[in-house]
Amino acid sequence: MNVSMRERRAVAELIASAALLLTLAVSFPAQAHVGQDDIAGGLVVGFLHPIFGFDHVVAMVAVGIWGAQLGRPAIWVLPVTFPLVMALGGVLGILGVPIPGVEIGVAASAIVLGAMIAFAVRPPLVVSGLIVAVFAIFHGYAHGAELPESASAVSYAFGFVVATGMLHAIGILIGTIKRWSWGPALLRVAGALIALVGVWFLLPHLTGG
Amino acid sequence: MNSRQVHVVSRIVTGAIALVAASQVYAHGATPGSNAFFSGLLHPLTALEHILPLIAIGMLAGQRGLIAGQGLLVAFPIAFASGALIGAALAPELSAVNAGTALVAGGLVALAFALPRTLLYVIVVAVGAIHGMSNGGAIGQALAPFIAGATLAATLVFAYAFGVTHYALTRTTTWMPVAVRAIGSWIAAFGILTLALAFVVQSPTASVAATSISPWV
Repeated sequence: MNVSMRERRAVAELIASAALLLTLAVSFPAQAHVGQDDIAGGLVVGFLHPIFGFDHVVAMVAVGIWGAQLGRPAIWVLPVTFPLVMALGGVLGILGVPIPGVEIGVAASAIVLGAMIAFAVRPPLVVSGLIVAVFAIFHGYAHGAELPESASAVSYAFGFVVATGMLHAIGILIGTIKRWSWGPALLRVAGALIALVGVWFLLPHLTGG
Repeated sequence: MNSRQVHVVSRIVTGAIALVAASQVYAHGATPGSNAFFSGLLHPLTALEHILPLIAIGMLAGQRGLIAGQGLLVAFPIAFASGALIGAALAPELSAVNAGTALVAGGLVALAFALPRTLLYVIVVAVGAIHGMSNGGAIGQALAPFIAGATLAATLVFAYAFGVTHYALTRTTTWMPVAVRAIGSWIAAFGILTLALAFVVQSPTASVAATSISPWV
């Protein structure tokens, strides 16, 4: 991807203004809309849900970095298809369909995606898309299964979708350092670190703790 | 969009939101009907299931370009206001339909189809009428000022998304079309999740677990 310095700054500022907008939207006094709960509260809880789970954070940033590492067309396809597949996982979570080992799946996603980045694996687009889609189901399920009881579930849903998209954007932004001579190596180190975080989150499940 | 233009756009949006927020505080009915007008004005803005599909159809029109979609600036408010009149009479339950419009409109933005102009008009008018109906169904006050307020707010949201998307896509930045499509996919994902919620949330057994936020470990 040929992203100039100026464009990268623009992306960063877009993210900043989106965050500002979200803050403003959240600071709206929750208007009593017929049949609705706390809208602003739902947005906050939903937005924070992926961010307060460090396993989610590293895996979603990994999706962005891997996309940037793969370049076109993966970098175009991932941010557009991921939210839709994640929503399907979220529906399974909302419906309470039992999926075993969701937490293991989330931790495994960090390990696998981190390893892909660390070894700079370049599978065909279909394969990378499928890998990411399977993990999108797990992440969506984890968010959908923990609907807030006190706040609006509807705005919670949008909150976690937006937060996940922002984490992808951050990953893509980090991935743009690949244009510098030491960039690709640094990205691979970052991938190894992400995989290690995934192992850290997986360990308690393996030891039964 | 370069960084200065992003600055300008974000300032305009921030200012607009501050204005709307301020109107809440000062809506004390100096003129007869103004209370109904302001509650109509806020009604589409304070529910994500209204504002997101409206943004999505604006983006859909913006992807097609200002010239192709200019007639929508007239057709949309007419459709919305007519829908609100019908909704005031029938008070239909449209939660699932609203979610469906988010899925369809957001999904089309994500796919970035070059829609035939007629189809674009049909979609925008249909979504406008549906949201007009569900807003109209909530009228508990003076009919005309409420519909005027709701139509004004919905049209501003639609027109702003339309204009910003068109403007963003005429920039030379390579990632902008993808950013537009990604936002479309967020709205479509919201539609999918809200559809599920519309069918599930009524039953008390549905909420599986209370939110347990564990900070970072």
